[in-house]
Amino acid sequence: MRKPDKRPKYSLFLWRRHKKIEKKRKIAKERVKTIRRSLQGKSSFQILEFRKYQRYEHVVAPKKFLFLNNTQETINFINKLGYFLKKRKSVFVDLNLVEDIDYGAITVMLSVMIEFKRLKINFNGNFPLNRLVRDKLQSSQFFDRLNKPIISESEYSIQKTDQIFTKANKVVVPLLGYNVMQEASKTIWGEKRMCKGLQRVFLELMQNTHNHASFEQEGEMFWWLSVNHDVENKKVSFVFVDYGLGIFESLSNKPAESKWSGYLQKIKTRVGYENNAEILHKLLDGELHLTVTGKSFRGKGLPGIREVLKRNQISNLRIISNNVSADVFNAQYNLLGNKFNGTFLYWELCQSNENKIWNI
Amino acid sequence: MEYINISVANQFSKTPGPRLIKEGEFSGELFFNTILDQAFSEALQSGKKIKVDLDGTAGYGTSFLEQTFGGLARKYSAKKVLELIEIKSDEEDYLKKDINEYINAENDVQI
Repeated sequence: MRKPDKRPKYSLFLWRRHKKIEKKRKIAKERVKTIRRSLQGKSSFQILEFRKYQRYEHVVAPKKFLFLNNTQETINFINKLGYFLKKRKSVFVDLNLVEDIDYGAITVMLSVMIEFKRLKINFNGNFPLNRLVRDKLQSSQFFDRLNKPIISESEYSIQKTDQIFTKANKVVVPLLGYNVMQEASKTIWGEKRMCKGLQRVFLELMQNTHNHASFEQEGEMFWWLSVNHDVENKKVSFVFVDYGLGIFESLSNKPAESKWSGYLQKIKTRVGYENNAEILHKLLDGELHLTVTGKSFRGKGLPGIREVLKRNQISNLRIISNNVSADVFNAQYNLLGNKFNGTFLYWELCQSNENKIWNI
Repeated sequence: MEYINISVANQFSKTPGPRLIKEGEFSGELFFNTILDQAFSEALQSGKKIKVDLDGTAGYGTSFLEQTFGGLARKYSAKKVLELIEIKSDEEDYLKKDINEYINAENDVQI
C-alpha cells in the first residue's frame, strides 16, 4: 500500500486546491440563486423559454430600430451581432422593446441572420410588443426565415408581392430589375412604366458588390435587395445592402499587388482630404476618380447613380458606408461615430419621378 | 449610305447586364464578342456603317456601355469607331453623350 504523502508542500497544494474548488462552487451557487430569484413570479412558459435560450448571447435591439434615422445605435446593434457571428456564438435577439423599425434595419438584420444560418450557428429572437412593429416585421417574413432551411447556397429569396420583396445573390442579375420595375410601376402609376434609371442603379450596385465588397475574392459577398411597396402613398422604397467591406475599407485594404492598392491614401494625399464624408461627396460627383486614375472608363458606378438622381429618375437617395452617412439629394454628408461594415443604400421611386411608356 | 442594323433588345437581350461575362448574364463583353465585334469587322470590309439601336431594353449600366463601345475603340481606334458607329437612343437621349465620352476617352479624339 502506498504511504500517504505528508510533506508540507503537498498539504499546502491540497489546501489551495480545496479553496479554489470551494470558491467556484460558491460562485455557481450564487448564480443559480440569482437566476431562480429572477424567475420568481414568471409563468412556466417564460421559465421554459429562459431555459431554452440560457446559453445564447442576448442582444437587445434599440427602441428606435431605424437604419436611416437612428443610424449609430442601429449600427452598434448590427455590429454586436457581427461580433458574435465571428465568435460563432448563438444569439438571441431581444426585440421586445422596439417601438419603431424601418425596412433598412429589417434587411440588414435579415442578411446577418442568414449568415448565422449559413454557418449553422443558432439565431433566435422574440417578437416586438408593439403591434405595428410586429406587423411590419411579420410582413417582411423575417420570422418565417428563422425556421426555414436555406434552399440554395447562392440565392435566397423572400417574396410577398404586395408588401416586401427581399432577394440576395452574389452576381449581377439584370432580369431582377426588369421584374421589379414592372411591379413597382404598377404600384405607383397603376400600369407598367419604364424606369430606366432604376435598372441602372441595380446594375451598378450589384456590380460594385461583385467586384469590391470582398477583400479576398471577387463575387464572394452577397448583396441584398429589399423592395417595399407603399400602396397608399403610391411610392416604392428600395434598400440595397452588401455586408462586405464598405466603400472606404475596400479602397484602403486592397492587396499590395492590386491596381487599387493604397487607392484611398492616394486620394487623400493628392487632393488633401482627410475626411471620408468629403471623399464620398467628390466620388459621387465624379471629381475624385479622374484626379487619381486619369482614366475615365473606370469607377463610373457611383457617379452613374448620382446622375440617375440628378435626372429625377429616383428620389431620396441615402448612402451609409463605413463611417459616412450621406443624404445625397440634400447634399448632406456626415461622419458617424461608429462604423458600418458594408454598404447600405436607400432610395425611393415615386409619382414625380421620370417614367416612360412601357416598350420592352 | 448603307447600314448594318443592330438592336440590342432584339438581337441580344432586353436586360443587358454587367461589364464582364464572369460578373453575370448578358454582359457587355458577351455583346462585344458575339455581335458588335463581328459587325464592326464586316463594316470595315464592306464600307457600311453600323446603327446600334439601344431602345427597347430595361436600361443600361455604365460598365456595359463602356465595355462595349470603349472596348471597340480600344481594339480599333476611337477615330474609326466614331466614323462607323451611329447610336439610336430615343428613350435615353443622354446615352449618346455618355458613349461618345467612353469612345473619346480611349484616344482623346473629339467629335
